[in-house]
Amino acid sequence: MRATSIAPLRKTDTEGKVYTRLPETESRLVELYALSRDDLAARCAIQDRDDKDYVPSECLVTLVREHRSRPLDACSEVIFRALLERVLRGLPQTETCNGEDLTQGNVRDEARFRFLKMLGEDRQVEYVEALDYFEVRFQDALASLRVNAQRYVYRRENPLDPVEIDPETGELSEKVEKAAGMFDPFDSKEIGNFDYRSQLDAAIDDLPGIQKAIIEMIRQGIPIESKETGKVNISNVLGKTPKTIAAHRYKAYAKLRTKMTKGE
Amino acid sequence: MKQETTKISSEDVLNAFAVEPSHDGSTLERYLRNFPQYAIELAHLSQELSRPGKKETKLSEKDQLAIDNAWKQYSTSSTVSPVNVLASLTVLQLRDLAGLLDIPRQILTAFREHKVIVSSIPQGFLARLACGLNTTVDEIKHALSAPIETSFVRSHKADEKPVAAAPATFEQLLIDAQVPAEKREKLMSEGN
Repeated sequence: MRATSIAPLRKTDTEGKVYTRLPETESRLVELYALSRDDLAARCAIQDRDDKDYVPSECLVTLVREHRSRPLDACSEVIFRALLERVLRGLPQTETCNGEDLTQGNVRDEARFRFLKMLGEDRQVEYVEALDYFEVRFQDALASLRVNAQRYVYRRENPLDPVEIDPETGELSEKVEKAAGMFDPFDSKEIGNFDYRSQLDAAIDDLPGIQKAIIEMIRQGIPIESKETGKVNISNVLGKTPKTIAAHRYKAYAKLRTKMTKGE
Repeated sequence: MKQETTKISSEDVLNAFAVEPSHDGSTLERYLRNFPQYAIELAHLSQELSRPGKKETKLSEKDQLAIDNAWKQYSTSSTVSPVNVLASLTVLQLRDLAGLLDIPRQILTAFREHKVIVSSIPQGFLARLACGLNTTVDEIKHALSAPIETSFVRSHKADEKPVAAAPATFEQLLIDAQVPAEKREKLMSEGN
């Protein structure tokens, strides 16, 4: 029998309320805390997600942090390695069909570095509240880590071409309008197909930052403009005219259509 | 307390959005309304979160090496303990914690300097202390039992080197701090 109490999280949300772990994470932790270190190590080494004893990633983060002020043992190593493997599996792959993608490699390294820095500071310096997010929803917090690392790497590699800045777009050329047509990549019956979706995501990643943001807002039902006072709309949040936003949307859809249909 | 939206960093906003239970249009709309300055980043994250889970891939040799190196670095680093946390508290925070626990501040000072016999502290009191420090009872016990670090010992101006006082029981510390008998009894009976 080891620890009997689970330390509460400390990070507060944007409303000032302290985050809590999900009930299923808490109950799994109670179960794991009752194991001997040897049994705990055996559980954490399980890699098969379908195994009933597979330890959720949120719990691995708690288990590493729970031991932060104690001497490390063989079990600590198993938990630490299992956690880092989960992190690495959730980061962009660098190997593509065209060889190694250096930018993705840099994003992967940056994200790994950031995560390890947090773990190190949590052990050596003081409680790192940002790690609390990983105890709430690990995969989603990892997505945020990826996006933050991407932004940093893109800015570092393209200092003169930040994603937020984009010249006002004038009239659309006839060619662009024709290419876009009524094509909406999210309206395809293939959207549930893993390969189609992966191909679409890769095509979206190649869009300029502002176009990528606009098509996501449209997908989520945010209108380009709105006459309703106080209603959030793309034109307002991005500080551009509705015409400019519409032009970006057409251009983005045209590029996606070209990539998804291989120019047919 | 609600934080001012302009003072929250983009990383905190993105993390908060990421761990929302749902990432539908209404959640995105709420964040865009509250944090329009991070609109592009939020939309990018929303797109990222909508992606299906990745297929399992085998880690490369480079990854395995990175894990080996990370463990080497992590396992050889020194640690922070709850006692360090106690030592780093400001006078105001220390006073608040003492108030929360309903004890004189000098008891916490004795804890910080490892001048207490850990086994003499009632479980209920340990639980309240752990709660006040946002940690666990086990961590507190472990930290209070660990060898004292000299940097946490108060310095003295004296001709002779001070001799470290032997640890006392929790009850003795309460007596030395002139805690009334009735309150002592209440504290000593916590969780026992």
